[in-house]
Amino acid sequence: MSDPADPIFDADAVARLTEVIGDSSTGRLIDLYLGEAQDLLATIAAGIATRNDEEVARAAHSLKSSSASVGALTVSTVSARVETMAQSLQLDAVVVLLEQLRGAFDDVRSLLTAESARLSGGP
Amino acid sequence: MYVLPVDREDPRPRVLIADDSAVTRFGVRTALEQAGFDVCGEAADSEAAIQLAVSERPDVCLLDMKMPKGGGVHAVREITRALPDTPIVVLTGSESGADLLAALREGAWGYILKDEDLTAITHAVQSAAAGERPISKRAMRELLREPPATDSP
Repeated sequence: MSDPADPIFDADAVARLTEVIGDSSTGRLIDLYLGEAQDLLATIAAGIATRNDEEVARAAHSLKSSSASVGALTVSTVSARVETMAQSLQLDAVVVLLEQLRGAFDDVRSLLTAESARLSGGP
Repeated sequence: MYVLPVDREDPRPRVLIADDSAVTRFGVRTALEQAGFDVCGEAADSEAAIQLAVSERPDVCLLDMKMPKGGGVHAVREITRALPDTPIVVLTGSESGADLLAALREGAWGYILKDEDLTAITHAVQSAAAGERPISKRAMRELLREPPATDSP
């Protein structure tokens, strides 16, 4: 569960994207993010199962960057911790963080889905 | 008789984007196209980046450092070997001075951080296309702050 004092989503990040690439492209980018993030979470889980610390670190690194770009602050922060843990070969600790990561993604997904619909002119 | 060089019909500078994140590629591609660039190829891993660079001969390569199939440093090295005059701008999450130095030693022309906004990334590509070196100030500060590595015990 996220700390109310620690925002999970930075709407300014989305506003900065719309300033540069426009509303509809930002909506498309958010949709891409929502799909890619789920794939990366699955990659991290598979990497833990097969003890592939390199794969876990690479997926967490990618998730950290793309989450920051759409303002998914908590997902980005926890991904950074997963990356650090995987780089130091502490995959057992990553198991706990993966649950936090999934929770953080679930928290921000509905916010980003609403942003995407708004930017794409949807309901 | 003079044989004039055949110019491409499209005068826009051509850029190759290599990053394993489709989100990053889409954002950077859209920003670059809106700024007047022709994105001539996208690659999701290091080997694909090298192949596309050799076949497309872009004016600028924008490469992620942490890509599958060899990583960005491998791609920088191989593209520099094949296309020594093509500026390569590294797009990375690392502001480590050591990483900056390693990229430049392998042949990178520029080094910018992923958490810069899309406008700054576009400016970096524009600078590289114009022959200037876009180098992250934060990474440069880290480089100057870090103690030099010793080569001997």
